[in-house]
Amino acid sequence: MKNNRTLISYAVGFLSSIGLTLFAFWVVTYHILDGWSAVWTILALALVQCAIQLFFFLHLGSDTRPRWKFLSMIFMLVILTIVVVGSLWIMNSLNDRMMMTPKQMTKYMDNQAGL
Amino acid sequence: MNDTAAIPPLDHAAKEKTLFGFWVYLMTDCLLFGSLFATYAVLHGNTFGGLAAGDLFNMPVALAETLILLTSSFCCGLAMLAVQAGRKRQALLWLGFTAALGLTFLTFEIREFAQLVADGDSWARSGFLSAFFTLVGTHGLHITIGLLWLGVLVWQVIHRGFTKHVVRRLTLFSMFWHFLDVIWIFIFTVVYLMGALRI
Repeated sequence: MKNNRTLISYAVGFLSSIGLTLFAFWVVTYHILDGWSAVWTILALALVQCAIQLFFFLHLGSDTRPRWKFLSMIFMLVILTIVVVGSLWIMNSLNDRMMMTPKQMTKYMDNQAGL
Repeated sequence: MNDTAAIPPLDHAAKEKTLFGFWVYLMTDCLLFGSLFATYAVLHGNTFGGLAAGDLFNMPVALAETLILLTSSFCCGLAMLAVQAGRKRQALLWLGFTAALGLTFLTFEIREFAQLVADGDSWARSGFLSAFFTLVGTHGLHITIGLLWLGVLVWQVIHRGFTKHVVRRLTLFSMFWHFLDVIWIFIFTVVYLMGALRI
């Protein structure tokens, strides 16, 4: 029965998404990990949950060949990575070269605000 | 009212084309959100002497919003199963749940925004808050448009039943709604959870 199988797949997606959300929340609010290890952990959890929802809710992968949906998503991800990683790289490098952390920059701008 | 009428057969190729076109729109929307995420990531430390994300946001509320939107997305999936089975009353029930949960989510978000503005932490306060309101506000705008769209679809289901066009629109709406939940996972992680980590 096709409908029953889809119902089960929705339920699996729903329950595992709840689990992953609560797990990420638990890691952060109870200080299980801290610093960058926590950041990488919750980002990984978000990516897993994203993949689960794409598969179970948006039925990615049920595409027939050629997989245009999948291909257009890969193309989007390449551009997304360039935009996000590129922005962070350039802006952080710019901050470093001006030898100011965002906090120092804020202080600097605060001093200039009266001008 | 014919509650169990079968869905009329669709022109398969044409439907596939429409779904793919909408999928491409969703991918471009991902790029829109991606650039807003990049802006937020760059500006999140520039608080201009104001409170940072970790001190500003209420984590239990953010968790509640996340679970509400997730449940709404799940209800939308169940509604689509009912649509495919041709069960009108059941489909309307699940669409009603989808709308009610979406509206609850939006209410939480508007209250959060109103509280921030009332406390003097509006978008004009700092680069960080400008980026925050733009990112989360754009998602909220998508949710608002989705709710209006859902309202029109419910009206069409009641008055026209599951015609070919109504079923196609419902399918597109369910893609849109699931997509918005996927975006929210990253807002929850990047804005709220990483904010609480004070990175």
